Amino acid sequence: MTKRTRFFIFAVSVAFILYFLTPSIRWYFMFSENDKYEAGLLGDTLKSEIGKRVSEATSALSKGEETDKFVGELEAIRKSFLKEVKKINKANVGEDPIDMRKDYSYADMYDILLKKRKKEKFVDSFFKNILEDYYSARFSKKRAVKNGIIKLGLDLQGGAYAVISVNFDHPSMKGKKFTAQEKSEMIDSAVIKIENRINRFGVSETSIQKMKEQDKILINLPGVKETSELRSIIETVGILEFKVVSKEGSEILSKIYQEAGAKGESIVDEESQLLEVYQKMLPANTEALYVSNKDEWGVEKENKQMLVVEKESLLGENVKIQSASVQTGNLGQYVINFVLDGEDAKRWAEVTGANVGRQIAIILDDIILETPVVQEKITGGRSQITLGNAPIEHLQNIALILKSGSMNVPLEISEENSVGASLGQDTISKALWACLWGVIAVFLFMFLYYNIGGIIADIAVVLNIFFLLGGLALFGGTLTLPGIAGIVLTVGMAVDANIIIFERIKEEFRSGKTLKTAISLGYDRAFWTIMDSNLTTFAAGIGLTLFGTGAIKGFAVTLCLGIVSSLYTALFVSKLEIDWLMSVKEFKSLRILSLLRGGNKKYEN
Amino acid sequence: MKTNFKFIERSRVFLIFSLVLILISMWFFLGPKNVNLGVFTPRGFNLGVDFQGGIVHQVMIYSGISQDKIRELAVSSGLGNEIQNIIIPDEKKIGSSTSYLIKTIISEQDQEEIDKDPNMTSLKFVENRTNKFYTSIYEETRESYELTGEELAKAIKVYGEENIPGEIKELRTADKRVVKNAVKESQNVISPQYSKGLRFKSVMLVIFVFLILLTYVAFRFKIQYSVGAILALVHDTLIMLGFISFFRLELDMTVLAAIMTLIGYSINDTIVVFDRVRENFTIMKEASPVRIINVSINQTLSRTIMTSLTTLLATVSLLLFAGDKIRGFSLVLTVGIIVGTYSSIFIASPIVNIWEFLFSRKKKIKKEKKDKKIISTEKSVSENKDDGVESQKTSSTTGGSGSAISKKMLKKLSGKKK
Repeated sequence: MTKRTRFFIFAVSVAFILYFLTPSIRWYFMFSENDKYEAGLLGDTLKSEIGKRVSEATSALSKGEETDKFVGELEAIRKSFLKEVKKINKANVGEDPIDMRKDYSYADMYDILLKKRKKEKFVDSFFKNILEDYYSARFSKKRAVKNGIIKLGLDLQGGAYAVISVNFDHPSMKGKKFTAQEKSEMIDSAVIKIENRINRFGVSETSIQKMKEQDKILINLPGVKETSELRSIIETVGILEFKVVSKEGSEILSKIYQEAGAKGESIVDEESQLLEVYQKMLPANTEALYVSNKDEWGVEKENKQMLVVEKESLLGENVKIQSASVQTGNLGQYVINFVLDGEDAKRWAEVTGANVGRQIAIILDDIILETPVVQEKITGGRSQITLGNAPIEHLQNIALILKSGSMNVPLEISEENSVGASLGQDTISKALWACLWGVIAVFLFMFLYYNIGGIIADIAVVLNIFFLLGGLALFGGTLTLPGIAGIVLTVGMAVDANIIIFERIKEEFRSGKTLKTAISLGYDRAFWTIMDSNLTTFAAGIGLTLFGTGAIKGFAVTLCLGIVSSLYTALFVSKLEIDWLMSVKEFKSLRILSLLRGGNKKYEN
Repeated sequence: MKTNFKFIERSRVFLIFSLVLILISMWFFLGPKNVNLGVFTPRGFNLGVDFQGGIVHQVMIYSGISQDKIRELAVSSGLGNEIQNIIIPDEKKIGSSTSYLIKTIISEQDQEEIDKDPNMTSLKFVENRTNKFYTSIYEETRESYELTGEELAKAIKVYGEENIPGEIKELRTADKRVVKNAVKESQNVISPQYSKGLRFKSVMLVIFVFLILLTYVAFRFKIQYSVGAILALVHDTLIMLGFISFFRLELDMTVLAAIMTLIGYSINDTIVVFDRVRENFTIMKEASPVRIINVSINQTLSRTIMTSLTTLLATVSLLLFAGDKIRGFSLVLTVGIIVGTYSSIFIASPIVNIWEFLFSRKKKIKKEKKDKKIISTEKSVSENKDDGVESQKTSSTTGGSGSAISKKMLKKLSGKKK
């Protein structure tokens, strides 16, 4: 490979890593508190924040105040306005066309539109829509940055995590035997239930995942100080209910929502409950509940809708469903079949008979999961739910909930850890200082011992940290305290490959070769030494990544990434540097690799 | 740096030294705890809650309590007496506040008590005890504390306007904040069942990693290298466990991570030496294994030392600056790197040599006879390598002082050849 190709490869790799690091750099170094706040907006807070901003911007712009604060807003409005003007000009060919100027003020644009469209209401909503789109695009751009950053572990940013498992020692479980399949299903249903409950608290970065052992759940709650709430979530059993959807109520609610939205107000209070005022406007004996709205990844989307249902629970709170499964229906589509027994089946026949043509909501812990329409009276307890072309995973989830909704799986917290945010802050700054001092010490040491070679190795160290962090961002890794320790250690070990090469070059040189040959021989002969030694460490690291948990895993990931990047920097980048150096200036002595004169001389003459 | 130490000839000393060290280490963590031998009393492991189950929490008390009182209250609430005063630097300290780390292990007795009550879980159990502890602190001192003036300004500076620990926000006024006198700053609870699993998993993890390494080295090298490397690792691990036991360092997941790193680090060092040994075996065909191994260790010595030094620079900076939370981790790393470097120089290669001596000598002799013809042609190719061999031969005949051959002599020799 020519030097140029190699440099090109190097440049591409740096660009590649930089691409993945950009969000983190922006987030930690360039984002203001306000930016971070905007990126974190979700659900109803997002909606009300957009409403607030829109009315702020509208009032400021229409009065012509603080225009420099709303430059982006004005720009967006002008763009859409000009598009609109084009349309108007086209439609009214005979009349005087409106000027396509680019420096209209807000008031001008408003007047022009009002003249054409007559109705103030239309013009208002035209500008409002533009602004709403503008803000929601702006917030989601920031949120995208947030999604791409290297996250800080709970030990660094404060927060709590808990490992939850099924309590098989619980009196209700004692003496029973479960197959692996059943155990796995229990955990699945527990995950769904906990997700369902936790998402309601609006902790935006909560993650709930099944652990590798399949019988444990890991919950991360960044920024949450108290875990007592978590405990209550876990200890409460999910309640599965069927309720009839009130068409009339839902229509009223959507009207309320539109009106409030026009005013930029929120219809819910801080706890996301419908405000008392609006509650009173609904028909008697009904309540407004949220509808679950998951995206393709199974994550709850931010804009949840509310539906109004009748308060009365159709089958009571303790419905027992015999079995539920996803099958292929007559038309080849997936359907959920579920079977009710005895009393429940009789009740079900009555209920469905009375509500043919209406929607029945399947509700878990006050969240509406689905609202199938009753087609006919269902006798015998065998029911079938068809959900259009919903993905099969969704159907399986619903089936799982139906089956296990009433099943009482006792859960317990087996590990719980909470760290105060201030402690986390303190830890970060200390760890970063340690990192810095470590780097400085290694830098000086390498320079003092290897002179120019030391600088080459030092560049490798910097690149190493850069690649390592980039790798973390790329793999969606989390930086924990042991992780930072891993980075510091990598700094120490990163120079190792360079040391092996330099020592080898020295050896070859001393045995009488020219510096140029010594360098190329040094790299060649050191190659497999470096590969073998690093691959063994890497093997150990992979073992840790696969089987370790928590602290160990965070550490092992950085260690493994460090090894890969140090292999790359030592075998590829530093070779490139030294080749370049040799082409710029013809070095003849070992001065290039040694600051002290002692090691410089050749042994012959 | 060109050295010529006789590592192999002296290996018996180091092997015996290491063996003694290992035995002492094992005595510390495996020996019977009821024997009283002063410094040499076996002390087992100071297991962290990760491996034992229990609760660790950090409590900050704004005012009015001494460490002895805290200990007394903790013991009477059943939290045990493992209490550590956390030193908060002055720039972060609010008034006369103090912070303590309290570690409570769920004992077997506790477990029995928990098992008796079907509604009791181990977590509830420790939670109840901590609640009792907090109540008793409030009784002893007072329930709340008022932050005003300078203290308030500092609290805001350190924690931020909204995050003052334990603040009761309802009682906030313009120039006063009311906080709970005792605040839980962090806590870590682990159930005994879970920690039991973790303990088992950790042992399996170490064994698993050893097996991977054994296989990899056997695959890339030969079985004797593999055995040498693994024995060196076992050596490192046992000595580090002894070290941890001797100084009563807390053995938790992070320290386990440190040990695993050392395994990775030490094998890295060992492989570099082995790689050279392997290379030299092909180049210096007529030399004895002892000589080959010796030359190889010497050739890689400066690298081994340099790498250890740079890594030590990094771990020492962790030890000095990274704070209490990973002090155990960085201490184990620092000492472990020294042990690991030692083992890859003085232990791993001698074991390969012993193996060669025991199992491969006959083969070697046969092979040497065969190879003799080829050597003459090889010689010209690997001239530079022969330099090393030549000088070695001379040094062993001129005098078995065992010290490094003088540069002058080497120079002379190479000069002569040229």
